[in-house]
Amino acid sequence: MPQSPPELLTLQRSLGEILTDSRGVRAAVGARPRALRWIAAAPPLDAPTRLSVYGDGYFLRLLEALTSDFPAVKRALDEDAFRALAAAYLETNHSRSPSLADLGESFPSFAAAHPLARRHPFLSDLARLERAVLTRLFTARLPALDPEAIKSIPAEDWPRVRLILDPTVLLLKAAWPVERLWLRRELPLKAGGRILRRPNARWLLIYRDETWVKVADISRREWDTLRRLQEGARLGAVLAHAAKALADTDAAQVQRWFSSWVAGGLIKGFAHDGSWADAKTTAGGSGLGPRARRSRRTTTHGRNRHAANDLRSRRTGSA
Amino acid sequence: MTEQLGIGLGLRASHYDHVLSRRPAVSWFEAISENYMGLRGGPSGGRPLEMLEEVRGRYPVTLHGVSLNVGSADPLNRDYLKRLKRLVRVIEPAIVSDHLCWTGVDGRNLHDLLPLPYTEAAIEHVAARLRHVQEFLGRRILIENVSSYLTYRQSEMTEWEFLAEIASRADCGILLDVNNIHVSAVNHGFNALDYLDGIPRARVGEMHLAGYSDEGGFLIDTHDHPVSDPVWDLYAEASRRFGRAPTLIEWDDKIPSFERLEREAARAAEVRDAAVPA
Repeated sequence: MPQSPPELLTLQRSLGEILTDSRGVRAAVGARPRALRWIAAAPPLDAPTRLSVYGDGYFLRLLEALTSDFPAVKRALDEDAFRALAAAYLETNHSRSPSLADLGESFPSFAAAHPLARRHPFLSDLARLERAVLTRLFTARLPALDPEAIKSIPAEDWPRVRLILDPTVLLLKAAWPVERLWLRRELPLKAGGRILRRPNARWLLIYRDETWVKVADISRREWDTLRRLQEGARLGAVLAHAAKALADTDAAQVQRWFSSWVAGGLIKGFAHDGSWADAKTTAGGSGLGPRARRSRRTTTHGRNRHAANDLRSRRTGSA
Repeated sequence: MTEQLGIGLGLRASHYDHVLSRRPAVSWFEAISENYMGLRGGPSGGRPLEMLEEVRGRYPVTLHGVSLNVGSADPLNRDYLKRLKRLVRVIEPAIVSDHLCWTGVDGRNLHDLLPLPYTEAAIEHVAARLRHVQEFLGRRILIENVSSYLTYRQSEMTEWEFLAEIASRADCGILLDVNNIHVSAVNHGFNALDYLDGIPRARVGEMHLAGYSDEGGFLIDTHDHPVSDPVWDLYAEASRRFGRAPTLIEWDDKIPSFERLEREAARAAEVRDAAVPA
């Protein structure tokens, strides 16, 4: 591939700086008047006006993308404060992806460090939740669990089985009950419930079923059990740990969890090969690490016919 | 063969339910490629791709990109090309297209379609890159003329000469956006018919129609209005010159009901049929 013409690079760099200048095109041109040497004179419109068509559109387009990806943050802050936060973010976080869906990748960490987070300490959790929802939307689901696969596993093998969770399953810990704000993200401001005043820790389960992204506020025990499963722990060890933790309450709860996970389409298969003892995992992954993915025997099948029944009894919502 | 596609509509998320549940009698849909490629570093297109696959199971689909950045001084984005190739493999589109423009430089994406200087050096640069893209994808693509609001002092030729020469040297097709020709003709004061006359018939593989906003005589390609009367007239002229090329109705903002889009498509068919009887 030949090198690009040097003049083209100079022209594009020059215009790129003008069009993305946060002060606006006219101020940018005032600071760098040589940029106008590229633009043909064409009365009645002057060159800065013509450049402004592109420059104004740049900021509006990016602001629109962040607004679309973080509606609950916007609702919590109100229009002006959100715009200020977005503008500050865009000054240091230029889009470097062909897709605008990547634009908000660092928005949660930016929001956490922004002065607005002192007035609204739930902001970081809320932005993290909204970003997590978006990433679930763009994550592929595995086919539904085949009920026959359960029967195919000998009873004595079950303790050594590892569950394959759907790749869309993501577990998020929040210090604030931000799922409440997220559920109200499309309501008008006058409907209230815009901000949170007291922290109250949440263990959130985020996943996508055949319709859309769901957010469920689950118990810490259930969250922890799912996390262990997602990390590739064997079923026997997970159940033993859960039963011990629940000893004083209700051991049958574990069974109810499993029923709801199967019904909700969270469990997509089983791995029952003893050769992947040291499997690692990553959040949002298949529940097993690279080595496990190479060596496991998986059992998945068909379309999900049993989604989200038991999960309805919990506090859930759709993106 | 693509001539048989007829009049298509842009596929927008707000219409997924209607398209999949009602199965309207639309000849084909155009999908914006980047919407189905997934997130950076992610392995899949997720829910949007699932929806597109469902639509593809029922209709012909074309893929239209906005971020190939073929006119940029930056190297071609290998990751983007790989994702596009993967999408093409999954969807098996009737047509793959993008724009004759630059969309960013130094790795920064402006998410806009900026015009190029119409120079010999730019022709060489873009044609070489298009050849590479086609070789990588293993198929011919179409390149679309963009609407523009400025021109460059360095330009050595007209836009249509630039477009035709690039298509010839890259051996690619042309997606002729009739609305963009009208918008640029008004904004820069050239004759739109001269533009049509400068485009080689054999290269035109598709046409686009859309609506614009009139800002006091300066036109902005907003895709939020019905197709205007001057553009319908220009489409008739284009159809007489280029035949019954597949034609798309684009409507991306203030998106109306699906029925309104279908009426716009029906009018396009009437205009085309009057200009080029079947």
